[in-house]
Parts: sequence; C-alpha cells; structure tokens
Amino acid sequence: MKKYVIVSKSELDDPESTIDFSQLSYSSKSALRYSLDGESAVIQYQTPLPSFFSGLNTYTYSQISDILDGEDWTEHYTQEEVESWS
Amino acid sequence: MIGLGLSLVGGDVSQASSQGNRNVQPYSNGHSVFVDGTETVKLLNQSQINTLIRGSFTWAFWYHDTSISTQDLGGINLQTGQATAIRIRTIPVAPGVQFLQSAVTVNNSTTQDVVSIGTAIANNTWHHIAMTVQKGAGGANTGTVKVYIDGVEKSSFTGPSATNQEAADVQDDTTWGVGASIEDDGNGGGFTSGFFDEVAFWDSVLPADDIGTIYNSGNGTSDLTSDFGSYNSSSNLQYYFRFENDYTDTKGNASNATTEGSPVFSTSPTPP
Repeated sequence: MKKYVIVSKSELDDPESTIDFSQLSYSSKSALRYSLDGESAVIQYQTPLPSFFSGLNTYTYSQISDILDGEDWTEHYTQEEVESWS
Repeated sequence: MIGLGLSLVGGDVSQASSQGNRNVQPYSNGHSVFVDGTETVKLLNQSQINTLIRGSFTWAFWYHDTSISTQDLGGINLQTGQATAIRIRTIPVAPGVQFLQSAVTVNNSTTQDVVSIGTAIANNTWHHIAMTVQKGAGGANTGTVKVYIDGVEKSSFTGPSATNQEAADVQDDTTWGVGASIEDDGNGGGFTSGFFDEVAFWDSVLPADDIGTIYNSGNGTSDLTSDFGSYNSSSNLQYYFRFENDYTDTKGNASNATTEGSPVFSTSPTPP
C-alpha cells in the first residue's frame, strides 16, 4: 500500500541523513514534490514504513491529497490576479 | 459511483474515490496511468525534445482530473541555463471559474496566454487536450501557438520566433513528462493528481479537423499510428505513449518512459 510522509528539506540535505533513496521509488531528492516555501517535501513509500521514517507522521492518499491542496503546497490565485497576467 | 480499478504496478493505492465515467468504447486493453500528485512520468529526453521544439509540433493527451487545482498537466520547465518551458496549467479561482495558462518559452524567450475556460476541464471527466506550435517562417518571424480542449480551440497566441526555436538547446538531463512540468533539476513543478492516456507528439501542426477527429465527440481515439476520418497526420506522429499497462512508445522512437514515484495503470475510469 502506498503511504506518504512529509520530510524537512534540512533532513534531506543533511549529509548524515539516513533516508535511503534506493528503498524508495524516486531517483533522488530533486524528484520530490516540495512545499511552496521549499522547506518540506512529500515522499511516497510502500508499506511497511521504512525504518528511516520512524517517528514521522504517515498519511493515506486521501489525507495527503487534502494537505497538498492546501495553501502550503499549491498556489491559490484570485480571478483578479490571474486576469492581470493577460 | 465506481471505484478505482488500479492494477498493481508499484503496489496498491489505498484510496476510495467516486469517478465519473464517459460512455466510451475502450481499447482492448483500455488502461490509463494515474499519478497521485507526487509522481511524474518522464517521456522524452534532451535530444528528442530539442528536435521537436526546433520545428513545428503538436503535443496531445487525454486527461481525467480527480480534483481540479492549480497544476501543470505536464511539459518541461527549465528555470536556469537556457530558459525553456512548454506548459499547460489549469488555475481554478472559484467554483465554475477556471483559467488555462499556456506557455511556450524557447531560448529564453517567453510567450504565453491566459484565458478563462469556465468549466471546460471539468472534474471526473476525460478531456482531450492538444497544443500546437506553428514555427515562424524564418528569422524573427514568430509562429502561432494554439491550445485545444475537447477539440475546441481555447487559446491562440504568438509563439517564439523561428530564430529562437532553431536555437533551442535544453540541458542534457531534461525530460518532458506528464504529471508535472519537469524542471531542470528533475523536480516537478505544479504536480497533478489525475489520469493520463494516449500522450502523443507530432513533428507537425495538426489541423483543427484532425484534433476534432481524435477527440471524436469525447468517444475517444482510434489508433493514431494510422490515418482515419479527417485525421491525416499519422506519418508525422513521432512518439505515442498509450499506457496500455506499460510505458512503451508505440512508435518505437523513444525509450520506455520512466517514473518518479509509483504511478499505477488503471482501467477505471474507462480510458478514451
């Protein structure tokens, strides 16, 4: 089953990080989806939870979808803003 | 109400979703590929992209959204080096009010258009989306970019100059995909959650009649490797990813697509 965790950029950038991309379905940290401020990334994994994610909150697809639709992860614009681009 | 019928590529997806369904005649192996908002499918490499965007081309695909948000349906988005972006973005601003942003940036020169499309890309329905880029006649002459939704032209704007298109040279790690506009560092921008099918690239501008024939009133496409009806562009088809439970290019000109994350093939909602 697919599940998801949210990891800080500092953890991903830490040379001592224990996150093992060979156990994940992404080629590298650069392939992840980052929050709009760039400080967090969402990582998909197949259950069971890899040991290097122990202690992190885990999310189902429905839960992570709600989070990713929020202001921290997806741009939200007003009609006036978008019309000003034309 | 039907559940998602996701086949096991990379494991189950635990999700319950109500999906609309069009009355379509599916292919014999009618699969599409589902990306969950964290995943991408990478289709074309640097060499293939350069060849394509230095001339006139068409990019088309079927898309079925699960929740419309601000998202790039696919393309490329190079932020550094030689800026290059081929993107189609949906931007909902209120219920029933949605914009379509289309951008073609080549050799650091950006052209784009933003148009209101109402509910043209509605939730839980298959839509056919096509972008055509007609290269200018030469030198500083500019071309024309058009974007069609469900066979109807929704956007038309001035494209890059011929000189800029001919100078296109994306970085060696660039890929063109669906599920996000894939940036030069491999990162996707504006991730999408939804189903994709029949992603096709031609080295020519498809006439409106061809695009309408492919859309076929929403009843889906025939095999694009052969002409049918008003569709007479099969000889210009270069890459054709049908996602029939695999990532092969039916034309055989590209390597198998690769993925970030674990997109899954699906038979529900029934692909066009």
